[in-house]
Amino acid sequence: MANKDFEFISREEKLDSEQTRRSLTYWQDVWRRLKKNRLAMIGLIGVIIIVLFGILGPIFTPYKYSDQVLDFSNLPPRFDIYNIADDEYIFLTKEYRVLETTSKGELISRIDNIHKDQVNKIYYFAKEYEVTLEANTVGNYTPTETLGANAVYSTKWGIALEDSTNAAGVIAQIVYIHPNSPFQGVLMEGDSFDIQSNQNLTEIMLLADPNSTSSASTLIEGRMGSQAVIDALEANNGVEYFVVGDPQIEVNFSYKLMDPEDRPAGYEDVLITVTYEGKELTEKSDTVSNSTYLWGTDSLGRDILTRVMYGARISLAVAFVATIVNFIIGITYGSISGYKGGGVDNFMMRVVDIINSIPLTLYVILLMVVLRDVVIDVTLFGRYFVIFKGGSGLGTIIFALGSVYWVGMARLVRGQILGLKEQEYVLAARTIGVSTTKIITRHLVPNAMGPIIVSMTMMIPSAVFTEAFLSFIGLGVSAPQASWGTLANDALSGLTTYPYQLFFPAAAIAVTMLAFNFLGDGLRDALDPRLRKG
Amino acid sequence: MSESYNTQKPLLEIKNLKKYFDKSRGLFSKEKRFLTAIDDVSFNIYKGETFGLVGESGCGKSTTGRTIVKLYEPTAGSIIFDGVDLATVKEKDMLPYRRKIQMIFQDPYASLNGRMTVTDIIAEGIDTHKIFDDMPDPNKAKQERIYELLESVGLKKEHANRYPHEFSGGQRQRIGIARALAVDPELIICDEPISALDVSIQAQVVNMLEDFQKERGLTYLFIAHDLSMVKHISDRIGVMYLGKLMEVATSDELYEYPLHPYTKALLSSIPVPDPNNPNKGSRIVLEGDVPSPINPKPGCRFASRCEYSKSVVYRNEGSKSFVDRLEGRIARVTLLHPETNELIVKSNQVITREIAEYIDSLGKDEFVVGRDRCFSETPELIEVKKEHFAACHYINDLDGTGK
Repeated sequence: MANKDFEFISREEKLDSEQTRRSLTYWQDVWRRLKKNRLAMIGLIGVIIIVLFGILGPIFTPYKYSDQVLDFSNLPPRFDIYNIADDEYIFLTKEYRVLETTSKGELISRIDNIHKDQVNKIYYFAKEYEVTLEANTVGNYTPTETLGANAVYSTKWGIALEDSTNAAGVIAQIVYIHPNSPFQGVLMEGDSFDIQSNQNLTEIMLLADPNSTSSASTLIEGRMGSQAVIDALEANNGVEYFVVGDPQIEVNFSYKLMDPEDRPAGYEDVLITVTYEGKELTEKSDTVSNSTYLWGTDSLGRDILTRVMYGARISLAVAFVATIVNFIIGITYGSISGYKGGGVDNFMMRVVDIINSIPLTLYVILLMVVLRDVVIDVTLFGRYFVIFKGGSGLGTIIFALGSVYWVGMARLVRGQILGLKEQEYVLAARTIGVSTTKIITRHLVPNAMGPIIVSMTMMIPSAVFTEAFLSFIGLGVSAPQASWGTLANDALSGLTTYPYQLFFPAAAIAVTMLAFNFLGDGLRDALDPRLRKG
Repeated sequence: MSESYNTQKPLLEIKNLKKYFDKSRGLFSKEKRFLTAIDDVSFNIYKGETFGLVGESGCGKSTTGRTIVKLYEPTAGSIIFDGVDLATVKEKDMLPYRRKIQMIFQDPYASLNGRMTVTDIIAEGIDTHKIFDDMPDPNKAKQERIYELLESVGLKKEHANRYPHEFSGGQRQRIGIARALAVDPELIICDEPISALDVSIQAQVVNMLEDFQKERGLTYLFIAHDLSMVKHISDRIGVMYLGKLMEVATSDELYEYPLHPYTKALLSSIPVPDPNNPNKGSRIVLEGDVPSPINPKPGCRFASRCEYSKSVVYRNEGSKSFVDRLEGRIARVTLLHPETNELIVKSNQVITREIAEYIDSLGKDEFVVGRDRCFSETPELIEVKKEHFAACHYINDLDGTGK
């Protein structure tokens, strides 16, 4: 080919032939790179799930974080059930309580024990009887016998109770039943009820006479405190449920003498035998998941799932607020220190060193003492807001973390700014005459944003962990509020028996930290590909 | 170009400019260490000319440029621009002068903020100086001005909303030039604007700078180490060595008749693309390294490497003994023990009594030492010929023909 085969193109043509595509901003490019990093995306999804879990989770649970049901305390997420009759299942807890459940693991109620024998048998009420109170049979049952001076007689139910004592302590004993009483044939004279201890409450309520002011009645009412139930009974009709002593479930916890070395793995020394109406059930019929409390309950019968959700709120709130405070203080402080340099920088960094040298734990303890009685409140638009309450522990933790954590950020930002301020684009801006504030906000901070974002993402799990640690050693939020740290702390006392109580908050902490760390690593790679490892 | 500059009033007058950086170690060290980046430099730049500033790396030419725009606060001296001494103007009052002096930077990759679009970068000066604020539609005027600037530096309107990383080095340097031009400056300090560019692009950029100079009557301070490029673009040239101005002359004069030994050495290092170059082999190779600019010794900065700073002390001359005459002077050769090869005295080391006696004991008849004046007295920049200044004590002894 000779030169004449070619012809010159004009400059316009040359420029027009350039490939043009939509320009990506820096952050679009970062997002594009982040999306390619599978681990970071898992982390991002994890973070989103955890945040939603904390924010939306409590809406979908029927319990509050402070709701206590003592009867259902320390329940595991999965348990063994025994089928005692056609559609009746019981679950024996590790505390030898008997709970009535369904075959699907829904908890119905606690079945109370009647008495324990001296050795190893505990007897429980098995059934609820249904008694229909008919209107004409309800009313004043005038006693046909002379009652003792100690007796309390309910003219409404036709039953007289008398205080009596036995080995168990004060009990109430039925001394008289009116022949027309609805309880005739159901209760027997001589039946006794232990008012003080764990007696079946419905039963005692039946005997309560709201008109009487006698000791037994007061005692009962005082114990019950449930006016609603008493009101319902006063209505004098309808169906009432109560429990009587027969038939019984007999649970035999026999201790088998066994040489620990001969004991096969998984076998316990205690052999549990459940006897119901003479039938012996040694084999558990099924292992089901707890449908009422999905993650079980803690030692006060509070739903662990709900508490972990609330814990997520508190832990993440602490982490986010502390991180945002760090972000603002750290960037402002660090960029001023780095940009001014010289003596100003030296002074500001020594202040940081001093703050950094105080141990966080000591700092929190001191703050706790100082801030205990501090309440900051405002009335805005006629509404009352509490901005800060020192006593709750939450505000103190946020305050402590916020006022200490920023030093790391300030150092990081300072280092970045020190490097960036000698960059020629900053010199160019200075030559143009751009103000210091604008140089920092438009040139320096945006270019230092990569490491700042990474550090923030890494700071969130660290704050979560610090909060958990402080709560764990008892410096965190106060009961009944729950953070993951306090949940873990609460679970620690029953660790060997109820390990699941520690598992769930610990897993939540671990998942959060992993998710944020994955995301942070991915962000670092996406923001600065030069730092990529390996 | 060759008319007399003395009759003109200079646009920029640098008088005895000094910039020392404090390099003292730690809070408690007593010893003060100063890096003398610029030491007593004076020169003038006249309106419409290009003043080239050359010198090897680290000689203070960039620092000079940056001190003129007050990126560094001068230690002493004055920077008189248009009759105002910028050295005394406080930072907050600098704004009006910032518009008149602009700078083009060396590294096109570092001189543009990667987080800003081309529009933002160029508009920064316009916004800061509120150039179009009294116009009825400042945003439109600004936009038009940016397009106009982009086109004048050879870019397209479509490039306005792109980010710097989408451009090549040459294109980025053009954006940097457009940024400097946006505020209509009178003086532009070009801090090695082409040294990071491809050779083919260098010519484009230099030609563009020359075109702007013609169109807009700009004045350039052109800092570079590429001597042939400086010769091409500059009207007058200053040669710097270790913070000192060694020689100032018009570009043709300097290249034809260099006076200062350093300039001679510098010019001899320009490669000539001709295998039959008659001057082949005449390259002056300087001995040793550039001395440290921290707390420099008195005397000529170039003395330690200068061929002309040598003189010889003979054993048999004058009344004093050989040892007495050697003692306290500066050795200009390195002396090794003839048998053990042990170092006795290094070049540029002060000869102590002990060393002098040792030299005497070796039975040498002569010894090369430094000229006293070169090592004790700092030479002033004096006008040797018309418009030709040089700083050397023995400038009149040296051959002014370039040999």
